[in-house]
Amino acid sequence: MTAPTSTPADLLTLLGEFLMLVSETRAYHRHKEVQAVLDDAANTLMRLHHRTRLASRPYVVAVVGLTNVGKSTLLNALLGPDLAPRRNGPCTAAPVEFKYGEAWSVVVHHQGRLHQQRFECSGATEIREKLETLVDDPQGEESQSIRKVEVQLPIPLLQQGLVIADTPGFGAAQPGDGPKTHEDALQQYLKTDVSQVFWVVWADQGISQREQTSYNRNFARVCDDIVVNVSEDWDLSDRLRFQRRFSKLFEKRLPAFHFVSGLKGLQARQVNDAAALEAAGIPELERRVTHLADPAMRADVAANAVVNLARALRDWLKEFRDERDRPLETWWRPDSWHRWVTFKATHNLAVRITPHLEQQ
Amino acid sequence: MLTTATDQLGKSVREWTAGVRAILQERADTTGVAAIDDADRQWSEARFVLTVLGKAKRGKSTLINALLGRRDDLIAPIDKLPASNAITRISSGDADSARVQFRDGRNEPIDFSRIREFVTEEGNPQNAKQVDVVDVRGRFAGLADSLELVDTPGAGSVHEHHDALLYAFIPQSDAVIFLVTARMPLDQDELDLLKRVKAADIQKIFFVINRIDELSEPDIAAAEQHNRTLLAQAGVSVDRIYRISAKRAFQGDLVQSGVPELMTAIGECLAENKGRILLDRCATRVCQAATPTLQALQVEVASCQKTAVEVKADAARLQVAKSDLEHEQQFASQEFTLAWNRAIDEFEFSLSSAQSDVITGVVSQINRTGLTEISKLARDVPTIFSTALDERLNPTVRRLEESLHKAGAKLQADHPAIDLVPSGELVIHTRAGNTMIAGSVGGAVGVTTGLGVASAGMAAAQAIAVANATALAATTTVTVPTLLSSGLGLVGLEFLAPFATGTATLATPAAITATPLWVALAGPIGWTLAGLGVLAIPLAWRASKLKARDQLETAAREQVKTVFTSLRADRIPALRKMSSTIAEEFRLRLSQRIHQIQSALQAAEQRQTRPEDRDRLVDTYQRLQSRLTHIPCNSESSVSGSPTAVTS
Repeated sequence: MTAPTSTPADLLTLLGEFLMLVSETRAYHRHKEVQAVLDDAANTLMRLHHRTRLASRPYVVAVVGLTNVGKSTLLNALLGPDLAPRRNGPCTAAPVEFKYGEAWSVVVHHQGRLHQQRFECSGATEIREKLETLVDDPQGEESQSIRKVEVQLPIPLLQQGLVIADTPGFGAAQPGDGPKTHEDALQQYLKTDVSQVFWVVWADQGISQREQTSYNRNFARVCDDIVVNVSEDWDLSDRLRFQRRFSKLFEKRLPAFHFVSGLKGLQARQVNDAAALEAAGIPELERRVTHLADPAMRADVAANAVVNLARALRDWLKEFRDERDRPLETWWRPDSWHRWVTFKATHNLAVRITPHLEQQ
Repeated sequence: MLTTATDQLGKSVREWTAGVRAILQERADTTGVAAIDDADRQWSEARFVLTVLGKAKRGKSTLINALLGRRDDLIAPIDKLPASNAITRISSGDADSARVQFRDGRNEPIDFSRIREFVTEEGNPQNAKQVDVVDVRGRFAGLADSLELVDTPGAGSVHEHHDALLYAFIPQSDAVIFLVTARMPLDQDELDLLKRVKAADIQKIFFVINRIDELSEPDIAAAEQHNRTLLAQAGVSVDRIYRISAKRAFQGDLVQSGVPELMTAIGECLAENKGRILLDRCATRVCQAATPTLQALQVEVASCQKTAVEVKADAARLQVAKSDLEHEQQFASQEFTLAWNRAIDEFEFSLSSAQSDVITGVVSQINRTGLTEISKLARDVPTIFSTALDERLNPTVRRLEESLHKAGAKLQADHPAIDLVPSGELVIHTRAGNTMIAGSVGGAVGVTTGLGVASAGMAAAQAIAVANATALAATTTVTVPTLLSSGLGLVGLEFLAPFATGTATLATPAAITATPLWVALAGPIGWTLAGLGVLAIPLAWRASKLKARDQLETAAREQVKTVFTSLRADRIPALRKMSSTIAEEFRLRLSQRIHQIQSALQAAEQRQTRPEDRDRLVDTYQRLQSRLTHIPCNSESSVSGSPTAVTS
C-alpha cells in the first residue's frame, strides 16, 4: 500500500489536530481503560510529532551506548574506512557527526564561540588522526571546550542528507565528585540535535540498570533500534533468548533488535567479503539507515503510522463498546469531533484516516 | 589448592589439641574432654566468608567453578545471558548437598542438578520462587575446610532487588574477590560497588581482572594501568591486581589462567587473618577446658610435698578463712550487680532520645532525596538506616560496654580467690586492703596480685574478647536466612544464641575455670549492637519493592521502631540477666576451689604419697602446663599474651 506523500508541514498540522482530538476526548471520558488507551495514543502522536518536526532539519542518527561497547568499531563498519577513533578509557564529551561533503574535512565547533576550526584532510586516515588528537585528550583545554566535531566525507551512504553521530559512552568511572558534565552534555545533545537513536549494547553483558535508566531518561522517545554488538558467536536461539529476556524492559514500544558484530563487519569490509559482511549484520543496519535517510520515505513511515494508529484506536473502541454492559455513548467528544470534521476537508491525509475514526 | 598454609597450621593445632585431650583423659576429666571436642567441632565448622563480587557478566560464577575445581557449572550456573540472580554459599562438607532457603522460612534439599532452577534468571525469572539463599556443601577439591565461597548476582543489573540483596550481604563478608574484565575499563557502577565494600570495612579486596584471554598483553597492561589510576583517585587501595582467565581455568588450563596465583594469595590471606583468629579461638577454648585439671594437679602437687603437720596447719587456716571468703564474695558480687544494673539503667534511659534522633536522621535524608531518584533511594535506604543507627547508637553503646567491662574487671579484681601454689604456699586473695596471706613454708609471704593460672586466665580472656568479635561476625552470617524468614520478632534472641551456647559449656560446675568468660564476653566488642545492621536486609527486600517516598519513609520508621523494640525487649533483659550469671560463676568457682583444696589437703593428710607417684604427678602437671604454654598457632606476639604466666 502506498501512502499519499505529504510535506512535513502538512504532517505536522495533521498530527497536531489529531493530538488535540485525542487529548480532549481523553479528558471527556470517565472510563479508566479508555483514558489509558487514549493516553497511549497521545504519546505515540507526540513522538511522531517530535520526529517529524526534527525531520525538517538534517536527520541525525546518533549511536549511543555505554562506554566500551564498541560504538566506534560499529561506525567504522558502517561508514567503511577506519574513520572513528577507538575511544578506550576516558574521552571528551563531544559528539562526532559524520555527514556528506565533497571533500574530506573536520570542522570543530566550540562552546560559546562563533569561530569554527576547519581542517582539510586527504582521506580517512588523516581524519582519524585528527579526531584522535581532538577527542582523546580529555585534559587538554582546547578539547574541553569542544561542543561537537563535524566530519565531512564523500560517501554514498550519507548522500541523502543523513547525519550519523558518534557519541561518547556514558557510565565511565568518574572518581571525583565533579559535575556530571559528560552525561549532561550527552543528554542535551540527544534532546536538541538528534532525530533517531541507535542504542548499542554489548551482547555478552546484556543490558544493565545504568543503560536502562539512561534509555528511559534520555532517548526512549527517539529510539526504535537496539544494536546488539559483539554477537558473532550468538546463535539464533541465544539471540531469541536475549531478545526475550530484555524485552521485559520495554512496556509499550518494543524497539527492534539488530544483532551485529562491528569487528567482524569491519574486517569483512576491509577484504571485501560480502558474505561475511552480511553475516556480521552490517548490511541490515545499512538498509535501516538508508531507509531513515530518505525524507520521503520517512514521511511515508509517519503517515502510515498515523493511519495504523487510527485503525488500532477504532478496533479497540469497538471491542470495548461491544464487550461492556454500559457501552460508550459517543467515541469522541462532540465539539472536538466537529472541529476535526471541519479540518479534514482541507487535508488529504485526514480524509484518509477519518473513516477509521468514525463511530460504528 | 586454597588449603596449604591453613592446613599446616590446622594440623599442628589438631595434634596439640589431641595432646591436651589425652592428658585430660588420663585424669578422667570427662567434662574437659567434652569441652575440647566441642571446641574442635566449632573450629572445623567456623568459616571464612569470601564473596565474589562484580557487575553482571564479569565471570563470577565461572571463577567459582574454577576455584572449586569443577568441570561442570552445576554449582554456579553459567550462561551467555546474565545468569545468577540469587546468592549461593558454598562450603565443604562430607557429602554433596544443596539446600534452598526460601524467604518465607521454608527450606528444601535439592540435587546439584536442580540448583539452576533456583539461582538463575532463566530457571527462576524475577525470583518468582522467592529464593533467599542456596547453601551448597560438598567435597570440592579446591576448597579449604574453613572457607565459605559466596557467589552473588551481578551488580547493576536491571533487576533492582539484586542490588538491595547484594548490598545487604557485603558486610557479611570477611574478604572480597572483586572481578572486572579486561575489555571494559572500570566504570562508575563498579566504583560505587567498591566504595560499598570499603564502607563495610572489609580490609581484604582481591582485585581481579578477568577474561584476559580476550585481549593482547599491551591492552591488558593498559587496562590495568587505567584501573590503578581510577582506584587511586577513588581512594580504594588494592595492593595487587591479579590477572586471570577464569574461563581457561574452568576449561582445565590452569597454568595459563592465572587462577593458581589467586588461589595461593587467598590461601595466604586465610592463614594470616581469619584462619589464625579461628585457630586462636579454638586454642583458647582448649586452654579453658584444660584449666580445671591443671589447677587440680597444681593443688595435688603442692599438697603432696608437705609434711603432715604442714597439711594440718593449712587445713585449719583454710577452715578459718572460709567464712571470711564467703562474706567477701557476697560483698563483691552485690557491688558488681549494682554497678552492672546502673550501667544498663543509664543505657535504657538514653534509648528513647536515640530512637527519635535516628528517626529524624533517616527521615530527613529520605526527604532530601529528589523525586526522580526514588529507586536509587530504595536501594540506599538500608545503608542510610544502618549508618544512622551506627552513628547515633555507637557512642551510647560504647559507654554502656565500658561501664559493664569496668564492673566486670572490678569483680575480677575484688573477688576473693584461694590457691595452693606448687611451691607449697596456701595463698588467699581478697580485695586490696584486706589481704590475708597464709604462708606455710617458713611464713613466706605470697604475692597476691594474680595467681599463676588465674593471671593466665586474664590473658585468655583477652584472647576471647578478640576471638569473640570474630564469633559475632560469623554469627551474623549464620543468622541471615533465619532472620529473613522468621521476621523480626526473634532477632534479639537469635543474636544471643552464641552466648547461650558459650555458657552451656561453662555453666556446669566442673567446667568453671579461672577465666571469667562472661567478663570477656562483655568486653568492648560492640556485641550489644552486633547484627542489628543485618536487620536492614528485610528492609532491603521491602524497600526494593517500594516506589514512593512516603512508603519508604513509613518502612524506615517501622524499621527503626523494630530495632529499638528489640533492643528494649530482648537485649536489655538479657543483659540484666547476665550479671547474676557472672556473679554466680564467680561464686561457684570460689567454692569449688575451696572444696578442691580442702579435699586435696585431706587426702594428703591421710596418706603419704610414694615418691614415684609424686614424680608421676609432677610429670603430668608439667606436661599439661607446658602444652598450655606452647600453643602452636599463636605467633610470637600472642604467645606472650597467652597463658605463659604460669610459674612453677
